[in-house]
Amino acid sequence: MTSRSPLPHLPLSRLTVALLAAGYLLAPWRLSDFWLSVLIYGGIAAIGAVGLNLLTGYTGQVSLGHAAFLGAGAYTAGYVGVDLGWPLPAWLVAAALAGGALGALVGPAALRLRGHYLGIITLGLVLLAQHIFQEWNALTGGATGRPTTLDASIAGVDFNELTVLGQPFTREQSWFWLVWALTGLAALAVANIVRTRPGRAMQAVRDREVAAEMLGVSVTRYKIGAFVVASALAAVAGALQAGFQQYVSPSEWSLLLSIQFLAMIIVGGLGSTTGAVLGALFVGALPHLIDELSAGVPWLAGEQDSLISVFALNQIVFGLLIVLFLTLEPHGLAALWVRLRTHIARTPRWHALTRRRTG
Amino acid sequence: MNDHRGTTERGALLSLDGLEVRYGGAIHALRGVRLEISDGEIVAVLGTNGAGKTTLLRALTGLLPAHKGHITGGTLTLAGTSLLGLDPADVVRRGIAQVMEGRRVFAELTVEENLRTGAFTRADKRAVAADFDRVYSLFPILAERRRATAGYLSGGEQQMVAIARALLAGPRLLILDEPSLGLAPAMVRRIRDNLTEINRQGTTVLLVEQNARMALSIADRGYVLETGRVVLDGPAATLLADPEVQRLYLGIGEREGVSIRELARQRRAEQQGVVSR
Repeated sequence: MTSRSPLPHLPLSRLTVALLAAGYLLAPWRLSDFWLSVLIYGGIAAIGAVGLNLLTGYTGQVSLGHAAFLGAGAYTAGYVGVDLGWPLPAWLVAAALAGGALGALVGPAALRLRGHYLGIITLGLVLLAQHIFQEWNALTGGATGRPTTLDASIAGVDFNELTVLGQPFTREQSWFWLVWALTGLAALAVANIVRTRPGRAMQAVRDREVAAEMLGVSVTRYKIGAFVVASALAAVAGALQAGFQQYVSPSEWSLLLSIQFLAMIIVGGLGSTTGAVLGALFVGALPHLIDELSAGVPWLAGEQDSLISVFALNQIVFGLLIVLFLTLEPHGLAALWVRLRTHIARTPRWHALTRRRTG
Repeated sequence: MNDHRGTTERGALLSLDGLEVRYGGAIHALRGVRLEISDGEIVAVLGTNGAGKTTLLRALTGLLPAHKGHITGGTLTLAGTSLLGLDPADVVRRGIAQVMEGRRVFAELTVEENLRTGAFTRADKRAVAADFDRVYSLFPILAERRRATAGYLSGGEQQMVAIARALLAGPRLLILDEPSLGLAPAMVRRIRDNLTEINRQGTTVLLVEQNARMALSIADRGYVLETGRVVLDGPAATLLADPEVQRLYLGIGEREGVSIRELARQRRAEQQGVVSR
């Protein structure tokens, strides 16, 4: 019961959709540029996490290679969007294609290996990719990195200098709208894959590979297919990250990043698209929240007599949360959310408000 | 029921002749197996562990290559067309569906999603819908629990899901590998009645079982496999009365109390003695 939604054709209830839409439109007016950038990184991470969740949560293939695909997307976008100077749709599609192609190359390894062994192979992929990123100077600028101020315009609308009816918006405001529109699209696309025929096939392969094959499900096609979709989405996330921060260096696409993505889908709840988005936001925003909350605490923060640095506290809380989620709530934030919703629905006063149609 | 022996010229649904299977070029798992199933029959294949039952099923369903096994001789045909070299998806499309040993439901999918996956290779939505109605009337409990997560069902209900899922592939031949394994006697009887009903509705059934009494009680005919060979075959009633079958598979007779596996081992030792002489 990890991903069952109350409505058959929408992953979220209408009330939730309305609230999300309102938040999407209004957030850039209410939030500071700092918190907007936190949410932008969260949204970018969510695109990658939704893809990884399709691969790991739904198809059962553990991958530590996600960082490599993000990096590939970032440099593809850098080449197409800066070196060639093509606009947003071009570098987004190019990144997706490059990521998908790389996924199709790596995917066959998943046919021979599973579980920990696949994890180790994909770990090797990250190390290999980082080496290439450091050495391929023409494309990546070597170890010091390269500028990636991508042309963020689509149909005459430039998200780097957005102006609507004479009103200029900051870069954070405009990129918030751009990124979260794409995040919504990615989540919707994956949610639709999951609840239709290919999604059933992927989950059948995850639960019982041989039994799935006996029913005529091509294990090869769906395992590699999941890799292709996941890597394409990772590459899109990498491209957006490059575009937003305007500079990328190879050290970003490290094993740590891959592990953070695994943490996102574990904290969010394996096998839940909503969970992957929540997990990405949570893992992305956590350091900043701790930063903010610890500002007034005397023995914290950067002061000389502080007991523990905020950075160290961050790492401790992060590790602790993963341990706690894995042991106490393996289905993650998504399950917590479902439980909260059920609890509210069972409270008589709220019942009428939140009651929803069945079937 | 009908005795189809001697009617092979009318065209068997499934026909194996001189089938040889080896694993990795070394282990000789099936030796010249000859087996025929006519349309509408229930046929039981009996045998102890290691007799070759699983290999036989893998050969039928195209799963041998996944286990580094190869058919090195003989013929294997379904309704006159060869099944040699087909992959599992093709075999399903030709009309063979297998209920695997140990049920193997997709634990995190709902009952209904499990059944939909059974119809994975089929495009004809109306025929699939009709088959949904059919299996839900066959297993009313599954209709009741269609939205339940399959992993939370009881063992017997999971076995029903596995059978229903195979039926949704729309098979001409339904193969079941040890459907009674690990089930309570009452549930074994229910599954047995379900199989009789499925057969009555027109599906041919191949039943591979260690529970010989259950299998022979509903089968028309049976085959006994041992060390990769068919050592005995005939009408179910004849097999039930056969002293060897009684001794080995039903635990009746002079050496009552000795385990079935032990008897089989002794018998294999005797046979090998004969061969080496």
